[in-house]
Amino acid sequence: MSMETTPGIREDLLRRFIESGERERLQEVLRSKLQASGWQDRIKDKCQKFVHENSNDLDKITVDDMAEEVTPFARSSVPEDIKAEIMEDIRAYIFRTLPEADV
Amino acid sequence: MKAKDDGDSATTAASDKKAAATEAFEELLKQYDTKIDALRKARDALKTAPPASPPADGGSDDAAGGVRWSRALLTIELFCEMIDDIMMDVVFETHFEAKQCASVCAVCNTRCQSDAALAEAAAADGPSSQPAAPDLFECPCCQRPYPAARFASHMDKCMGLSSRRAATRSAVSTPSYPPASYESSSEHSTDRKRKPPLSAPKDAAAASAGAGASGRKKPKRK
Repeated sequence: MSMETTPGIREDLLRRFIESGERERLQEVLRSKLQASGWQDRIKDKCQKFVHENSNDLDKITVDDMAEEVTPFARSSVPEDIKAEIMEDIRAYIFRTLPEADV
Repeated sequence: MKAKDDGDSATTAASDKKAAATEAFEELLKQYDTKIDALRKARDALKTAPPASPPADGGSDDAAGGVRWSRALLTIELFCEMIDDIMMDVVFETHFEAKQCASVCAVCNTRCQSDAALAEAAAADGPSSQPAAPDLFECPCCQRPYPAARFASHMDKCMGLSSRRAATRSAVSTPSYPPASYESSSEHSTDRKRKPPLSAPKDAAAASAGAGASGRKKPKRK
């Protein structure tokens, strides 16, 4: 698992991940699981709190500011079981795509 | 003597129960201690060798950045990208609702009356504020106040400005479309079923009879 990959292989893997449709399939699974767990509602609450805190400068609020504020919370608040399941699927895909002989 | 024996047996039973309960708790305590030891070891290991994390800027230039792209790092990076995509959908939606709530409509010159915008405004102001009252407009015909959302439909009924009504009236009076004998008028310019001008009723009747004979009768619009 700690094997070093060359730069070209990384880009190739990312491209294959998208083109094969695996990314889209996993994203839909992840989206439905996060919706069911209430994660999206928590993110929306966080965003709305940010808007209320900056309600005086509502015109100056940008999407980038909001994303910068919410991203650490979003990444850390993903339920562990969902994270483990999706990362296992991604890891399985990487192992299928990058077997040891190719590296 | 017998009572003493009964007392002794009861005491023995109670002590046996106590010993069994104590044993169960000791077993549980051992398991938790083992778990705590394992977590302490993991914490010490992480302190000495912290795990590599994907670079913040994406790290496409691996040679210059010096990042060792392991399969684990790739997994984390792909997962984080997917999470960020889903998060950005929520961020865009909330940002749009916030801007919509604050802005004034260019068409009706009022604040947005959608449910999301009203909920945003109520939540922003807090529970102490009253719910936002819709802007009321006075009808010039009947002088009654109406909210903006209903003003247009009321004007249709009150002042007879609906084009559909004009089309219905003209459809009832003129079954067919007179070929070219009409005066240009802005009021009739959008109607397909045109009402013949009042000054030439005979011409309209003759034209409609001719159109009917030639089979150019157009179907009625519903």
